[in-house]
Amino acid sequence: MTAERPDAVPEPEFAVVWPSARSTFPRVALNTRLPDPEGKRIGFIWDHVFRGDEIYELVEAELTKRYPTMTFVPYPEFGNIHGEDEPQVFAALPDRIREKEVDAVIVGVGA
Amino acid sequence: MRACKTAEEAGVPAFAIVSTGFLRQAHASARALGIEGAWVAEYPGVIPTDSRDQLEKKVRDVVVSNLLAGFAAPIQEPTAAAVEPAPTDIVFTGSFDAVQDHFHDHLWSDGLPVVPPTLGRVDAFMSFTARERSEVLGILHPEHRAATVWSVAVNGVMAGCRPEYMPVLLSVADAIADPEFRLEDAGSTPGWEPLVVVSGPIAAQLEFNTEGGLMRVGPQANTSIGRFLRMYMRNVAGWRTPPGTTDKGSIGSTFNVALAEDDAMVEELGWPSFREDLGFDPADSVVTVQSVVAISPPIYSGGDTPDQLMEPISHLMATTMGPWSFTGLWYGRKHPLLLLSPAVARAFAACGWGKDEIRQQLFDEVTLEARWLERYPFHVAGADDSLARRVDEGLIPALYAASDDPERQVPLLRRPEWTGIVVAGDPGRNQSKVYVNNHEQGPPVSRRVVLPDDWETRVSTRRSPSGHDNQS
Repeated sequence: MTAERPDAVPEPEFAVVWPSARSTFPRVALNTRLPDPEGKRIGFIWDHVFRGDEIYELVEAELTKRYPTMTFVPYPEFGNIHGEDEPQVFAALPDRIREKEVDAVIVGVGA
Repeated sequence: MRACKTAEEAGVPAFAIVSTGFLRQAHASARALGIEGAWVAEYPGVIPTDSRDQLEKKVRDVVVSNLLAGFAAPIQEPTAAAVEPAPTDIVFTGSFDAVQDHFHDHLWSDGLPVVPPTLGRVDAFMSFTARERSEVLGILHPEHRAATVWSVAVNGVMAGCRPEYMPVLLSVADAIADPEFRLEDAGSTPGWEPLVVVSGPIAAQLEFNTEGGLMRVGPQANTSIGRFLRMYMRNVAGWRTPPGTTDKGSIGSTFNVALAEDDAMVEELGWPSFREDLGFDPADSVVTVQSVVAISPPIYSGGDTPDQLMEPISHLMATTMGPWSFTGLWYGRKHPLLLLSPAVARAFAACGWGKDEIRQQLFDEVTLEARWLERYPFHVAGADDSLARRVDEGLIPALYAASDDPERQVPLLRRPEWTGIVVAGDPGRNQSKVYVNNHEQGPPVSRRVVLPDDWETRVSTRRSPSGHDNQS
């Protein structure tokens, strides 16, 4: 801030506009989750980094302990969502999800 | 989070696994993607540095519990969108200092003082384009905001640009709005920074520095246009460093000033200009934007034969690209830019060499020990890679598995023509530099600069930033 001086010329004021722009947020209705996981089919979707292979193996083992009738679709079935052919994998993903008849997916790994 | 959105759109609930340091970004991305409230299961800590025992314990004790909590959680209604200002609304009135504080408080500033974007100043920028102020150049991620012509002018004002830079600013914004640029990855951990390259008559008209010290702050065109791009990414795209929530550049770097080609030198050499390399007409002015994740040290080339001149360029390009080049193999893109000394370019030309010969030799000579490309992914993401497997899967050429010697040299460049060459810098010294892009994130995207009908008149009568009237 400037200090007051007796001979100071009054500083101007500035009326300024917003530097951003309108949002075009899409809205996607979230699907009902899995209140009763028993017997459900879970797909694993992986970006092939951050040890997802290890993590999914452990997740599958732990969930199976808790819900013995739960089944799983391994990540190779969906493709690498962060590889050289990422656009093609994403384009095919909705059909893959439907074809595999999964009830939910676990997506990883963000890090 | 994009895969979560795809799954939700396909009709099934999605649950993300995200490590602690990325939770805020995950929730911000979910909001931006329209899946606010999507379930994020935390992995506590930093995955690549955990032992196997630690990873097992964390998955069993924490990640699975977080997933189970998500299975049972009801869907939350998304928060109502905030009412935001219209483009010409006055959002604040106050002194210069008060404007700075207001913009800092709202995360609308890059930390340096901004020029207050008054309607008069913004209108002056708008007078240099025939495009409507509401025209949308594209939708920018991560906040999914509309990149309007007006917003370009506002941020140009704030960055300290001159109104006549507006055609260049529009081309810059147009380029980063192209989905090929992948602006949605600008907050990734490597912390890459975009670089504007200007090629064409407009570089001289706007008095870009193309000679010594051209990549330093100082000259108004180079500096303010470079600053504009980062400010636009902050204010419109939504890439805000902490205390913002979206930018996960682990260390990052400051903005690059805009790089302009030395057109007169290129003409003297008889070489095609950068814009001609990209398929544009020599009479065009062209803006290219690409990411920069690494910059070489100074590269001094001595000698009077191509091999002598190339030796340090190839070596220092290779060491600058280094092990991170595995990403070029994983994601299929790699676009280094050679900023070539005019003096060295002249020496190449005297030997009968042009850009094609330089590119081909770089393609042949920029190599690294194979073990680094296989091992560095472990450090980055927790998993070794195998070049032989990638060859077997048809992802990379067979030469990458020509032997199983981990010390064998393998190429780092994917295609000769993907190396850009711009001649500029101190004509009195033999120094070049290399700017390495971040694989598929921020490949070069170019736009022709569209000038207003009265451009020649207006640019010839403008006040020069160097203090001299152009007509005097």
